[in-house]
Amino acid sequence: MMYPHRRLLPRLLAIAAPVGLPHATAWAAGVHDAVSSVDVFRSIGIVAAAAGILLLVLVQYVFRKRLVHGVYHRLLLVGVFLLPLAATWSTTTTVMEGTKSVQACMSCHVMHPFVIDMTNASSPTLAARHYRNNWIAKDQCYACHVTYGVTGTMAGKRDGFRHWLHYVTNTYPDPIQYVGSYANSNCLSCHQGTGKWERVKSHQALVGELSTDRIACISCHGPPHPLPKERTMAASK
Amino acid sequence: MQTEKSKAPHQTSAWVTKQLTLAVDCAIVGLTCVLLFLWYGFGAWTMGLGTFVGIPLLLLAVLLYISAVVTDLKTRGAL
Repeated sequence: MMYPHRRLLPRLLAIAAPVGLPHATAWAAGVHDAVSSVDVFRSIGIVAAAAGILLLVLVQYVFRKRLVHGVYHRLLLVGVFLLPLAATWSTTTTVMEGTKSVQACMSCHVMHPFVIDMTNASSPTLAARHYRNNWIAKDQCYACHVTYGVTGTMAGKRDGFRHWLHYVTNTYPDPIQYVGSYANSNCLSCHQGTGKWERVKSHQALVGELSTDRIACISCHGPPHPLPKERTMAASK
Repeated sequence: MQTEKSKAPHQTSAWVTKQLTLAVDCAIVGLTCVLLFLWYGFGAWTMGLGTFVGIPLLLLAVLLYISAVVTDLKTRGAL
């Protein structure tokens, strides 16, 4: 005898889960108004991870002796191979996309003064002016702090990992200091070639120096962020 | 007699069983780490746990599973 409703319920759940879970994960993250691609990737990962844990615990520790050899191995194929691969893909994509957000940068408290300054409507810093005038629509930190291109993005992830390691091992100076040099290509990729940029005579005169980083854009247009002393003062208030 | 015959081809070696058990345990721990990160979102510790502990454990589980399957197939003469 057939029981169509027994098949219908899992199918309905399979359809409803991808629709409902992004909202649930967005709610868990404290974002109620919009569902982004990161939420969708997260939802897929949550479903895969939860299903994998449940399946493996049941197969290995509850029903192991009752399962015939073939069924056991097929279930392991799903639980140890397919679902972990799905969870790995989802987590990697979530990290690669999610670390671009300002909220991800804010998750380490040393970045709070930078974000507070950036969102401050009266701050004169370059970051605040970009934010205030909506010159960068989203992912404002990432837009200026990653050299464009595939290798640049990987360099950004490498630096992110280094920063994370310093943070969790508490091996960083406070207030933090920027080491290295800031590539003008981050600025020029948006500004160079625009009418406003072209009209400035000094840009034309220094185009060679700017493109080879011999003169930094921020030497005229800075400071990009509050200075270490200002950040210490802001934190002590 | 028939039962013994049907059971005979399904005997797995202790080494394969060990690998599968280890793969399952690694997968359960890895999936738990990943689930914690995905559910709680970006935090210094949850991200570290999910990406630097969870994902390597999941990859180890997959490798152990592949190794167990290959060993099992070789034992049975299928490879």
